[in-house]
Amino acid sequence: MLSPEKNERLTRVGPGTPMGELLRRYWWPVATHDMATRVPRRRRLLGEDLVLYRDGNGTVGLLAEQCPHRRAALWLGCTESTGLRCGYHGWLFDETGACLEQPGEPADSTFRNRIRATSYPVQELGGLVFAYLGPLPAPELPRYDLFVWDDAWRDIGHAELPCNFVQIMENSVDPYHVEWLHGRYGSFLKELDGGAPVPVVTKKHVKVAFEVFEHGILKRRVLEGHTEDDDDWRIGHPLVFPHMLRVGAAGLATFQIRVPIDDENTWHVWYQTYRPEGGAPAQTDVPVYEVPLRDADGEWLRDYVDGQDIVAWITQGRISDRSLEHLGKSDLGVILLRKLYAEQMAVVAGGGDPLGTRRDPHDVIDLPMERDKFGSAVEFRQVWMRESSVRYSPIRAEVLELFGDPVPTWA
Amino acid sequence: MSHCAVCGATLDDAGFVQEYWVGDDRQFLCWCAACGAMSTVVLTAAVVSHEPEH
Repeated sequence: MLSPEKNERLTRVGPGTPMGELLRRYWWPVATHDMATRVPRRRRLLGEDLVLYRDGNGTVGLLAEQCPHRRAALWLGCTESTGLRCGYHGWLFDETGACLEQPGEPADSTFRNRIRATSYPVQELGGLVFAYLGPLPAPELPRYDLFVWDDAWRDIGHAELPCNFVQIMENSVDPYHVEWLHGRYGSFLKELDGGAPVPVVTKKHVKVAFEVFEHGILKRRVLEGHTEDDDDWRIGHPLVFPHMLRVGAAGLATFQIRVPIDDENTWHVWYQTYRPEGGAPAQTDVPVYEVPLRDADGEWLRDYVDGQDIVAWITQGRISDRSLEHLGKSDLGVILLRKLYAEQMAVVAGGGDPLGTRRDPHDVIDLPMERDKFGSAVEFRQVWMRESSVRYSPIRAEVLELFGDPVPTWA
Repeated sequence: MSHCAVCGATLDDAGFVQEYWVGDDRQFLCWCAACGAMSTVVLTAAVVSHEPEH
């Protein structure tokens, strides 16, 4: 049980809340590259309504949704060679929020010099547009390895999920759910359809461990039949604080990025990289696709790993009522994560930089991850390519060919 | 749990208190924003000891 007051503190992401202030110290993906175009696009991040655009010069801007003039939405606007012009009266703003033109005002007026749109810094990296909503100066945009490798293919899946981001993050420090939600329940669904159980994810957890390190929480596990010499324990993989899971096996690595839209909605991004031994040929464009949530009958999709996760997250409610939960010893990873959020809120309240923020320019941040996940890279890739959100990737066939793994007997 | 078991500061607001169970024992993981201590408080269902040779 967590008290209602602590739960409130843990889950509210808007401006002025302790969690909201913590999260505003990080760069967040606010869009995929294809969303930043000449057509202004509405986005919502950390409870703030925003407008994203790319002007004629190619500069990407992110402004608060409402025009400072008469409060009309700036997505009702047109991009010019420089900046975004409000569609209502033509006031023009650049990416810094400076007002460049006020067409209806007298020609000699200096009024525009006293007007600013609320603007936020943005940067593009690896096919995503990142935004920073916190106090300036902004920290460096962390150049995590998957975003910057130049010899990998990528694709980006995404979906808006109707729940708070913390209950999604908690899933990433809950190893036992793998053998039950994906192993038993996933296999149960396949049994009903006359299929074979899902391999690999059914293995029983013998031991799990969590340690806070410079990037978040490093998660380790020993599965039945394995030892501490296996990668799952020796290397593990991280929850990247405060918002990502790094997961995969040799050549196939994913960031699952949980972006709080507001208290009750999360933009989930599956950022996949494919990097076989020796590297992948050059990729001209990063494909983007939406991950469907429901089947043709309107039922939540749950016949694959990510669908099962999604349903487990959203059925907890928009904001899980943790005052009604009953945690056990197998939930210590979840408890550690909640404690880490509380601790880092206090760091920010004290004026410090929270865990994982970088002020130093850097080329790449390498993160640990198993090569042989669950005992075998090939077997894990075989499962992941068929039982994860990758099944919706527009380049799935090409990726299967890229790795050349044999088709498993269970498929 | 409303106060830190280490320094006695209040665990309201910034402090963290999480209840969980280990068998019959009700436990609270506490983190104190004042002193930084992380502690586990165990409300035991019974105190079990060994019986010495006699």
